[in-house]
Amino acid sequence: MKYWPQQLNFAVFCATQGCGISREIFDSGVTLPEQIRAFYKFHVYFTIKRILLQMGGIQSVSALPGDPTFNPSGNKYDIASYKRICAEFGIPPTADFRFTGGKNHGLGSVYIGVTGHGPTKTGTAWPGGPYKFSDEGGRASKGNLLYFMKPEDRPQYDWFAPNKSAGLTKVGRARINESIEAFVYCILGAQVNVRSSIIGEGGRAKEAQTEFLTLMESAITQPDLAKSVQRYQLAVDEAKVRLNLAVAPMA
Amino acid sequence: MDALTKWMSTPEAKKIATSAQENAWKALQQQYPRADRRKFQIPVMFSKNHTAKAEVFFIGPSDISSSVFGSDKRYWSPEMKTALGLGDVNGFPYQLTPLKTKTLLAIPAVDFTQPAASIKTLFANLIAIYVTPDSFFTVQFREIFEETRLKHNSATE
Repeated sequence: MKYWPQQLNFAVFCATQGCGISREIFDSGVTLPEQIRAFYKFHVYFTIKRILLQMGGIQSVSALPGDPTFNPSGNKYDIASYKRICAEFGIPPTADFRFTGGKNHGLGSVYIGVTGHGPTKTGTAWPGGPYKFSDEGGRASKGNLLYFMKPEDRPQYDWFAPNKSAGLTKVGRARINESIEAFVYCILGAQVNVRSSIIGEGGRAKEAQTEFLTLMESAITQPDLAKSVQRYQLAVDEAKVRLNLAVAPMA
Repeated sequence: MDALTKWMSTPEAKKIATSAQENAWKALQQQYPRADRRKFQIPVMFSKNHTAKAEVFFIGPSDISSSVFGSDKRYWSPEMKTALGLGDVNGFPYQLTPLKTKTLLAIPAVDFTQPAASIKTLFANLIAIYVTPDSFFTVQFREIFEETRLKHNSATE
């Protein structure tokens, strides 16, 4: 599970199938008000990032692409936290989140080094072929040196979001409640912090929209947002400007 | 024609053969309850003491047969997995479908050859954040769906 693509597969699975959310919600397969559809997108992104963070445990050892400690082939995570998330979603901790499609179970095409020609792609599937890496004893002189393996351009996490769903799961409803709290926290918080409405093209509105992203990142790391929402609700009562927020009044 | 061959055409032998086939199929169904019998053949082999042994074979493309219990699960074709009922369920891989299961699911039964819509594209664009039912602003979320094509330079990775 240290393999970053596998971590991402797991997080995508939890945020979609684990919660009972399918692609139909994103691609207009089901009829929904645009506000709800947009919220589900927020929920999926928020939950994926939160699960990736939670996999890091209390010391937050997990890292995302771009972070200094990020290592795609050996990305650290906390096993106890991973098992706890598995238990939450009812997934056996031994469940297989490896991508086994494409060449060599997703590892990719085999390239061998050919003198004078550089890396050359072969059609031989590994380990069915005779090719070996140098640390396995492969030697160019014996004609069996594997230069590198590289997968095709097909994001594997796409296969871990379902096409259809039977409806929200129990854990999905709990996670969606967390996302609603975070959504309210971010919208209200951004407007209170900047003291401006978040809608519009003006400088203050843009500042509030940037603040929204900042608060979203902090909301991902906060285990309990209820108090923060209360704090902002108090601030809203004292606000001197008109604040915008209506979460799905038609739902 | 020897005695065994002669006996094999008797109703008693046919009854034993049918029973052996049924038992073999039941044993398979215990592990793969959604298996499609039309995709399999169950040949019977008789021994000299008039007992029968049956084995289930999957009949693949070009009539190539592979034994279900005598082959390595890791190298089963997508067609064989589908015939065993391990394919796609409601658009999602069978193996990961049953939440709350306590049974260890033995093989990755995902048919990854089918196309899948891109989540990356969904989040690569501007995301609308609806503040009221008809007013929204757009933001760009941080990219996380990347670095999934890893180049392997050694066997230890």
